[in-house]
Amino acid sequence: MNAVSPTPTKKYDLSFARWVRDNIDGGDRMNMCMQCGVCSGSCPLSDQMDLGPRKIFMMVRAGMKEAVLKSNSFFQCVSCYNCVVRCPREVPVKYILHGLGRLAIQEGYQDKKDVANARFADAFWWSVTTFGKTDERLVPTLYFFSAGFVEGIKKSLANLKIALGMLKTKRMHIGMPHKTKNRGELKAILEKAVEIQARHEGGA
Amino acid sequence: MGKKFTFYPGCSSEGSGVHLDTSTRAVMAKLGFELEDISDWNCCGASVGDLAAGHLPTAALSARNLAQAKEQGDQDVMTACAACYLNTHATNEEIRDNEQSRADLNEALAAAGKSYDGSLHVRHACEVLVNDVGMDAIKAQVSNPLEGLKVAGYIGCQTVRPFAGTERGGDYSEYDHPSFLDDFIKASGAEAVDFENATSCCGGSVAVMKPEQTLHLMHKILSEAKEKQADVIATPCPLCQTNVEMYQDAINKKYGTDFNIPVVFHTQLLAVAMGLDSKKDAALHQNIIPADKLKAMAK
Amino acid sequence: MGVESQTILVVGGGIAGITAAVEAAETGYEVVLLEKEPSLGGRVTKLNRYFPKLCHPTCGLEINYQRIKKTPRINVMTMSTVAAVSGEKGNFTVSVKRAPRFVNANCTACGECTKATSIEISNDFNYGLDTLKGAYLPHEHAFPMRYVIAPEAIKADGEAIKAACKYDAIDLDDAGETFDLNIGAIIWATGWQPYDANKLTMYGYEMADVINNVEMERLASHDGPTKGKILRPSNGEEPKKIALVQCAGSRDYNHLPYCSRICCLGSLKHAAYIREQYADAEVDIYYIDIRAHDKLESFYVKLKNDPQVNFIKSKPARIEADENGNPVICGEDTISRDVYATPYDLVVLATGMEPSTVCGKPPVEIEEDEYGFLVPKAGEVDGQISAGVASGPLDVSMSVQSATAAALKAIQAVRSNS
Repeated sequence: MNAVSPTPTKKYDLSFARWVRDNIDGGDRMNMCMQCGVCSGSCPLSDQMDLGPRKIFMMVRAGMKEAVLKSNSFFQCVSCYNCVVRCPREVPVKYILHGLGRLAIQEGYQDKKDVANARFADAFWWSVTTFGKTDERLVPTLYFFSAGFVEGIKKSLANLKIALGMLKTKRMHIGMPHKTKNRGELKAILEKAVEIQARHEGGA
Repeated sequence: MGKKFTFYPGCSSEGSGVHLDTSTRAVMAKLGFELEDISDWNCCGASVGDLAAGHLPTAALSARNLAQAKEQGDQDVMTACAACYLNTHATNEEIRDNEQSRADLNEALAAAGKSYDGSLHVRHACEVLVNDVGMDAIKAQVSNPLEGLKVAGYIGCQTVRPFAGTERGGDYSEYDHPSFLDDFIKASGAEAVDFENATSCCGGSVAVMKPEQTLHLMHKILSEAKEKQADVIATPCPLCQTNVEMYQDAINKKYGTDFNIPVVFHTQLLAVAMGLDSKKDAALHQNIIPADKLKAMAK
Repeated sequence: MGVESQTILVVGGGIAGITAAVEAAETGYEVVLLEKEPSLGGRVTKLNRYFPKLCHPTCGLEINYQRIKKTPRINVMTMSTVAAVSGEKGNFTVSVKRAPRFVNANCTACGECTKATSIEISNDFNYGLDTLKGAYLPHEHAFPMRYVIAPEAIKADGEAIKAACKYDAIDLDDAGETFDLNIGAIIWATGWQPYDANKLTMYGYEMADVINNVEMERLASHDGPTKGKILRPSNGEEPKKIALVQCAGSRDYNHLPYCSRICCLGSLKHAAYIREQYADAEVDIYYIDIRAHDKLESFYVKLKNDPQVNFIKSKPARIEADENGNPVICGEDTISRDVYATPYDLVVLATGMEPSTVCGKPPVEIEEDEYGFLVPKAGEVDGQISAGVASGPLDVSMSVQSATAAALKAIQAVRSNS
């Protein structure tokens, strides 16, 4: 695993809040949080989150890095932006959550095989980097099978009717994936972006 | 009018949301707009790109699209997809306002000999309909009013909330009780039912990954539409349309309900109301749950 | 500098304006006290009780009205506003616009005129919670104790109203007037208004049983729409479970970024009203922090010891209607991390204070802070001073202190001219 934040093995890390502030998209506003609970109260899947955003922010401040990065909360986010627009302190909650979720996977606090979102995101990113576009057939299929062959068959069968409906109404096509033409150009840009990002993260 | 836009169709336009693309183009043409596609567009990164690759590579996707759009002219960029708008608009603002991001993304673009300065405006098609066209001009094009059709206007999240406070996003509605979708429905001659769940979340991409965790959200939306006796649900968001339509079977199984409510795009309603072709322009044949009542009204 | 005036103009006849006026006048200065409503008293006269002692505001106001009556140097002008200001310290020309009252000083407040009209108008004194006749006394403790006729009542029943008056107090031809005053210094005591709860779109203010804190004061007042009984606006029944929601707009960058300072104590007082009226009622107070500073803390402690008053540390995310139309408060309890959805009979939003001047700037250049409160920095130097909540969110006692200080600054301003 690529360790990007300073002390990936310590349970408590009192510099964690500072690291989040400097490195997570939106993290610079986290110090504005006044623990009012509007984010967790507005969230449609809050009851399926172990901690919820408000508690996560408090724990980041307390340096509870391990406990934070083992949370399931990042992966229940539906990106509805209720938390972002309602936060009375203009904390971009959703962005910070997604950043912490990526960190949790990157540093190995959570195993990809246990995190559906991470497997889905990988399938998605594979399609984007390969074709320039999301292939709505290959991404779900790859995702279904990312949890193992049996699970893949089960999930595919469960979605068969939906897929047939999509095919019948010509919302899913048969044949090669749709592609961005100049994929070399896109590849060069993305590789550079990945490089710049690694440079920033390494320099933190 | 005759205004020209650079159009960003997005991935769903070639798949699950092709009927949004078709009907948007038809309605915009009828209203006298010219749409020129970004010539070689790529994915916007949707809502999971940042988890897979991080923020900067995700933003680089939109940066490439914007750099191309700028090469095609200074006209505003328009998209009909909520997620495409969200990412493209956010990246545009980031490049314009954040010096570090502007430098980073231009460094990435330079790897392909491109650059972009954030000087374009990114617009959502709904916002263009409200601010540039207006309800009166829409009504003026309605030759086939959808009298007697009861519609539940379901806006979802990403069409309004993320940019309610931003430069143009805030212009056309506020994020809790936005009125623009009901205005479109009324302009088409249909009846807009009072829909409390208009901005409730359908589950977004989590519904695609882990439907079992989000079926209750869609159940709530469908239950209200049924209770209010809506003939169809209309939405501007391609992911909402697909989720709320395709999971009805699974919801029926889980909750013992018998939902079979067509979910259409607002532009499909408008296309029919404007007397356009039900297949070629309104793409009604592409709804998995057929909107029979709407189809019967088509000219 | 030409003609010099030592007259002090006080704009706004609420508790701050009244205080500034009597303090300056009792020191020997001529004062003009301008009030846009037909009666003095402002927001305070609409309160049921003060915190923390729960005494009636009429008491303090009455003492001040006696002081005004005993001081010939105060000229009270009601239904009057400032239309224009020109000149400078020591020699302002202030153009005053008086709206027609249609009732002159002969009025004995006998009330015969009320019977002569059938026109009903919204009762602004009760924040529109009920209506009253178009010929009315602003409220039972009005100063001046004089009736007002609404223009629509004059139009419909003018002659009948005039005929009903035995004291020749009705002036049907009153068209209002605009006149100039020569003024030495101006105290802006223009006060506040409750933040518009309709802007809190997630809090369902459109529901009948979701009200704001100033409406609660009227419900609890003996001269309010329910004669002092706290009842559910939807059906007139006694509420059993009541929620008080703090920071409804305040401390929120989307609304009022600042703390309005009075709402915590205001809601604690509302809890006391409810507990006084209903022995069985349960009150939940939703809060971010309870800001009961200094001597006010004992009031908080008292309420906290009441087993039927629950403090829930949570800013509610939204208020929805259940299938029966009752308000349901949803959010996260930040102590237990429980996500709750609790139904109530009555919800009171503790809306914050915003300066009244957000709806109409003074017709003169005057410094404001980032929230719109008036903060003329060089008060006694340029002859314009702000007092009370016009200058920032304050409670009544702090407003009185602020007004006394403003009176002194105004005196310094006009004295330096002499």
